[in-house]
Amino acid sequence: MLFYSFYKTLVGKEITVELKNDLAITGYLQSVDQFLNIKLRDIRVEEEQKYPYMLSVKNCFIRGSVVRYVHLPADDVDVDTLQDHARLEAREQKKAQQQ
Amino acid sequence: MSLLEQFFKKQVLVLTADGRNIVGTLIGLDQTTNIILEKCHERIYSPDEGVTKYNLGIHLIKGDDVAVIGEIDQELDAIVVVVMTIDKFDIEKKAAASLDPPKQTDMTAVTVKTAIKSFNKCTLFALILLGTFYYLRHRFLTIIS
Repeated sequence: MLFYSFYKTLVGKEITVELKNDLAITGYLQSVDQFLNIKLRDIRVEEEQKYPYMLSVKNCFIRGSVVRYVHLPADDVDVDTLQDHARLEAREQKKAQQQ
Repeated sequence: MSLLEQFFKKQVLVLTADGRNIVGTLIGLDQTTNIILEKCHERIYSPDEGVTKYNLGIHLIKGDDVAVIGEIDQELDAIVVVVMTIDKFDIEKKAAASLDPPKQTDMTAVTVKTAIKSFNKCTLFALILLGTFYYLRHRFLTIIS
């Protein structure tokens, strides 16, 4: 749930999603769901000559399971808040495991 | 899946995990991204043959194999549609052809066999008739002469 909430803070920002099949898509984050499936609008493929298929597509849905990396704009990420939340989440998970 | 509901009944381009490009109308979907595409075709992009189109009819693609689902913008797609070459393989036509009852071909074979048999019988009978006719004629002529 942590990263789902984290992605929700990035809605509207321009991100680059690199898939496991090496395809890299840049677009504005439209929405995200619990499986971390990503919806991008106004997309642009990074290596257009290599992957001509996406020419006719402006909005796309990317399945969470095929994402390798998500490149984020450094300015839009508050690292400290993220770290604090991660620590809280880890602590809660430990408690849940002990119980 | 609320994220995909926006693409419902629209023409979409599906990129599968094994790198295939399938275009069709999205008519069904579920939580695990299993999708049903109607009137779908596979597009194969190659530097030698340009874009080739393989018609597939109705297909269910399992969610595990789905990588990207993109909404096709008709104006942008028009360029690709123009470039696409003739349908090399139409699965619907092939399926329809395979549904032709094999009995039909068997029937024709059977009728031909019986026709041949009956023809043989006919010719035999005709030959016998002809033979007796000529024999009688010969006898008649010899009697006269």
